[in-house]
Amino acid sequence: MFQSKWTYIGAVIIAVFALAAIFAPWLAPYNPYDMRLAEQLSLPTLEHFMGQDANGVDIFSRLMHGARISLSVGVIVVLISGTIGITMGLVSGYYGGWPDTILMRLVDILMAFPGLLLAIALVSVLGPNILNVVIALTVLGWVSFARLVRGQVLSVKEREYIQAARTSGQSDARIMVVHIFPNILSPVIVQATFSVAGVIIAESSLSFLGLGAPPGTPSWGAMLSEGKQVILEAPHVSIFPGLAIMLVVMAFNFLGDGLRDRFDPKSTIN
Amino acid sequence: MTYKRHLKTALTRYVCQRTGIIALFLIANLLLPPGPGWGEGAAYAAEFRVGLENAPKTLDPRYATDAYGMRITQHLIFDTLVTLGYDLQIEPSLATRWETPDDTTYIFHLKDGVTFHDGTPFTAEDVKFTFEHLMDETTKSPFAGTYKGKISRIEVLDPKTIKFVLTQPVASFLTSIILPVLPRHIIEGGQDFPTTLIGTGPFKFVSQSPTDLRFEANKKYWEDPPGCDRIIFKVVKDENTRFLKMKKEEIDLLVNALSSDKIKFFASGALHKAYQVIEEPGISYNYLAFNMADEKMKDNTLRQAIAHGIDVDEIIKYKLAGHAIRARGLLSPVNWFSEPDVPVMVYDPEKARQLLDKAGYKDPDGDGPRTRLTVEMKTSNNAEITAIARIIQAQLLKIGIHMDLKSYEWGTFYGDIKSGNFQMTSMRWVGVTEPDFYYDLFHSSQVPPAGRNRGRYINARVDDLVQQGRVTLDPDARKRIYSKIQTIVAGELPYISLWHLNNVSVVHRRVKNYRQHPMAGFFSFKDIRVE
Repeated sequence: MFQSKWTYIGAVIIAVFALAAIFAPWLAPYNPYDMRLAEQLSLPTLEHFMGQDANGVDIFSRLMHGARISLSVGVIVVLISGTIGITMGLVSGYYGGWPDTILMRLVDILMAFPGLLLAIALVSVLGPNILNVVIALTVLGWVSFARLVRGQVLSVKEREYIQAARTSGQSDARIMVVHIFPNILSPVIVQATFSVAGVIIAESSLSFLGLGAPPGTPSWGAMLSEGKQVILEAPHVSIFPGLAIMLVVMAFNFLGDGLRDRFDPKSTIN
Repeated sequence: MTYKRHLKTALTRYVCQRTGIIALFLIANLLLPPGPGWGEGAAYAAEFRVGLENAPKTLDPRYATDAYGMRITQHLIFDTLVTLGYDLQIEPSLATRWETPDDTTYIFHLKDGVTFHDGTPFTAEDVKFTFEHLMDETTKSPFAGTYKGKISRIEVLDPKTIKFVLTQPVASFLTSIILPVLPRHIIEGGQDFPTTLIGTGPFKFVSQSPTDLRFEANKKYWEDPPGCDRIIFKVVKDENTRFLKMKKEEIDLLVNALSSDKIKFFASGALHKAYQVIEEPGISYNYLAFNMADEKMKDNTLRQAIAHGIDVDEIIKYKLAGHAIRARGLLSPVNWFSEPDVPVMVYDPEKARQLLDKAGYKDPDGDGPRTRLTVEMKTSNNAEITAIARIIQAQLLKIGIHMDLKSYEWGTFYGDIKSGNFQMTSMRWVGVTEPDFYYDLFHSSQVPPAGRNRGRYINARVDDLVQQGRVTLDPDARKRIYSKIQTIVAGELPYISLWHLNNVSVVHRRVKNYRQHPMAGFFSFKDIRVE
């Protein structure tokens, strides 16, 4: 189905992390909140194969629970922002005129802000917690979907089958949902895959800055931030969460590349 | 294809050229002798390099309220009338002696032969000007409130004698006047004071940038001239970078600017040959505060249960690597006023559970996951405070209390604390020397916005005692008053006392005569010699 083996590798990595996230409470060898201060910063051993952090908590168990936050924030933000963006893009592209002008100027305004800075500002105002991280990233995330969908709608809406549907008296809503949307779905799926990777990085960045999950919650970005304090004497505390973020983001990008090669007729592989 | 080949050739040529240039540069580097300008590591013999975590907010002594700003202004650029010695007792400085003919009059005799950095002699007029200028509303100095309503008038008796008349007896008066004496001729004369910073101190201000502050010795200082020619403060915000700069011997001294994880590298091994670690009890105070106006928190039994559920010794041992001592109250044992015999809530989870039962918070499911109650703790997003709060959260969970930990950026956090929008919080007081601080923290009139009684602690007996402490001038009688206050507060637990951090200086062995002060100040810099 896919021409590159990297697509499959990406899918497998995502599947492994997703399973680890879903079954973390049963699979994790230790409680991710169980502090053993006497064993702080212990190096990897057979019992704790990624070692223990500054509070003596098992890093592997925290990583597994952290996957729940990273992946769920990634997927939820993309689902919500995708839904909003697709709706906006469909309306904007299909109707044109003033709805198009207003929506696209709004998109321009939001795109003019440096993304992460706006997210930091929003979370600072709303207060640091996961829900507000989702809100902030959604506020930013729908824009790229809206712009992509609008462009696709513009190219599709003049086709004969849309003309035919319109002539046969179908409602605008039905034309958009039943006739246009399925025909522009492929680039949207590709965009969604890349967006998940972007959101995971953004969530980790916000948590790294102390603007994500509350202190103590196992979150990859926060683990990386805690590790930074002791990076000279105990690099393993930051290496493992760093690797986890890198692997997942890379996997989503592999998958996105594969999907794009599969769906985009303009893209070819040498 | 042709284009690609061209590109490749051009790239190869570019890389070769660049590599050649770099190689030549490296060879030249190896052949040339290292001069003083080569790398930051090369230091001048009499240059003393001190690392700071943050730049002082201002060096204008009228407005400097942050620790580094106050240390630099009080100990380096300027002098004060009196000072706090290494035993935290008042000692002479610009005032050689003083007398108190009655409870509200202080007459100070000033030192002869003292001049400002520009050569102008220092007189009693400068002292009078300093305090009147600080009290003047147009100056907008944060120190105005310290003197307003307390100093009735200041009289210059002669150029070297000055009289302060107070409105009422003020026991903390001598401590309260430890502020830099300003040059009247510069400020009144309309000259530029904030950038020249002319004082009488052992060091002259040279320059300031966001990353370094430079001072040079005042060779005409009224005591022995300083032992080093220059002091450079290097502002290095990141702890890992500070550590690496120490490792490269680019910094001679760090005071309380390394975590316990890093200090251990200087206490033994290779770095121990270059540096020594000086550790002594400090006077900072870490505590947990309750909002006594909160429905849950006003119950003393619950507060006691929480106090018995926190294993302070475990945190000191592992998280602070022993660089702190257990606190029994606001005043460190170094302080003469500290009362050692007060109730201490030792770690006793069983007793904590019994107290929770008594307070009506029964265990809903034995060993099950449900907790007895939830309390909310707000902290700033300072990494160290948050890390400690997480450990306390884990400890309280063991006695069945779910602590909902929320950390905010400073502005939001501080706003909530001042407005009483919290149940528990954890903070630190630094530089606590004067027991009159109990008035600020626990007198009922000091609930914000008026003062710093943020926990809304109201106790008529304590109100009465702190008021007495303010006006009792006899030190022994005053000590007895503060002993009573410390005992009451330790039992009523508006604060849970955690620890006093030790002062830890890591100092290069080429630096001689460095002495650590309980306030971690820069008192000994004028005596330092750099070999």
